[in-house]
Amino acid sequence: MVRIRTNFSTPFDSRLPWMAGSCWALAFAALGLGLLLVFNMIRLGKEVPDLQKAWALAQQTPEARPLEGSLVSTQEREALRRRLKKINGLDAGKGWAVPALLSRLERAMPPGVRLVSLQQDTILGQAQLVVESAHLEDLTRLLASLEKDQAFQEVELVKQAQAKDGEQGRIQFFLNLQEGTP
Amino acid sequence: MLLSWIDSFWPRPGDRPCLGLALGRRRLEAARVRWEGGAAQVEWNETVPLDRELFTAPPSLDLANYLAGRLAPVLAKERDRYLILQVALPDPAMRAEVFELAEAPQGAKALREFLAWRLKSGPEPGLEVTGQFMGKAQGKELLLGTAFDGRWIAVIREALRVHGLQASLIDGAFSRRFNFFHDTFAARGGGGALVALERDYWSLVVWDEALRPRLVRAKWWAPGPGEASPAEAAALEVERTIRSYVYSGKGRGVNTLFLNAPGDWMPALSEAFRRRAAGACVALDPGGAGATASRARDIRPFPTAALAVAW
Repeated sequence: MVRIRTNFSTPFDSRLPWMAGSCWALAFAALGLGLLLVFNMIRLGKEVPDLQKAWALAQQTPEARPLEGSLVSTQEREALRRRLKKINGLDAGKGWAVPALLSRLERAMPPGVRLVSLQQDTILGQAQLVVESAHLEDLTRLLASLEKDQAFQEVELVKQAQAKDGEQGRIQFFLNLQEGTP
Repeated sequence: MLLSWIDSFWPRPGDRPCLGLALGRRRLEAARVRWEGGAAQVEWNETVPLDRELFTAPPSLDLANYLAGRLAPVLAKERDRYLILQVALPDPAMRAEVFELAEAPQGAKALREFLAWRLKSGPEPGLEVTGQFMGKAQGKELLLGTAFDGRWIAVIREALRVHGLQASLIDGAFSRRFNFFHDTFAARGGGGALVALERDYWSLVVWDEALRPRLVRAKWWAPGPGEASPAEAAALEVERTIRSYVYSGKGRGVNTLFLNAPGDWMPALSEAFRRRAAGACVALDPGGAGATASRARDIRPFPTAALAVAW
């Protein structure tokens, strides 16, 4: 069964007010967007002179200029390198400064032990020292104390001897120390 | 032309109130219908006589203003209100035909060109066409095509535009009547025909067993001296047309003849048609199709075309 639905006009119904309302809403949205675009356009337009200035400045960045006069000669460069090597050699040792070493030894030495001599190679970080005491036990304690000290990588008893100056009962230890990191 | 996306904009049963305007040659009828409690109620109806004749000759330039002026008292009742406006065109001024096509034109443009070519009767300019496919019968596509002089449609649109209005529907009165009484036809079943007699024309629609319109005929009518209604002349011509339809194809039949006419014409018409239809003749009353008057004092005898187009 068929109902006739021919029409010479464009049909619309009660949804027309809603459709019209939607169209108005769209129109307002488009207007708002348009205003936003215009505002942005004006703002960008104001930024143009600053941007042009920045661009001009960027265009003027100086190029690398050639060095005036002659370059450094090979001989001069070699001499400079040698001097630099010497300077580097002055403080390139692995050892401690003498006051630092003495401070360590002072803390490690038990009472009754005295330092007779000290030789330090700051380049290699090595020290040879001679200590003496009236008692062997004091020297043994010193050795144990030095070995415990993390500041010394290696402690070596090279020689043990009687004091040469004739003092009776004085014993001397000859020690080699390998210093650790300061 | 009917397109599927346009279908969604068709007024629905709840889309009331609706103002229907039915145009004739010498009169214009208006009816306002409101939908309430699942039934349509006629709030008021009005008949406006026209002292200038419409649709029988090409329209003159001032006719839109004239028509707008005649519409003014009617439309003044609905000022500042949102309502649906639908217009029924007189059937004799319209060309309507049901085509049986082995192959249907594809696309809206092709369909429009086909209808314009088939429905054009002369070198008239601006013929407006519309159509509807109604399914298949005996392997052929049935296409209802209607055409109307575009100049007259422009006049009507302009007259409404003067009042700030646009019609959501402009169509032939026969199709509105057919839809209005559709449930009555369906309840009766089988093929049938509706003869509608308006004050200045008569119209015939014949449908098949599937309730699809198959034939549309209409003619202007002017009463002769001493003639009250076109009963005899119309009955003769309707009988002839129905017989030619029935005998022009296999399985065609008209089981019931439905009559619709102004109340004062009905007795004479019923008598004339009953004699020719061998009794299978049913007089239709708009009230029987569900229309009721909301306030009796505003209702004159129902103008079927105006009421049907406001449905």
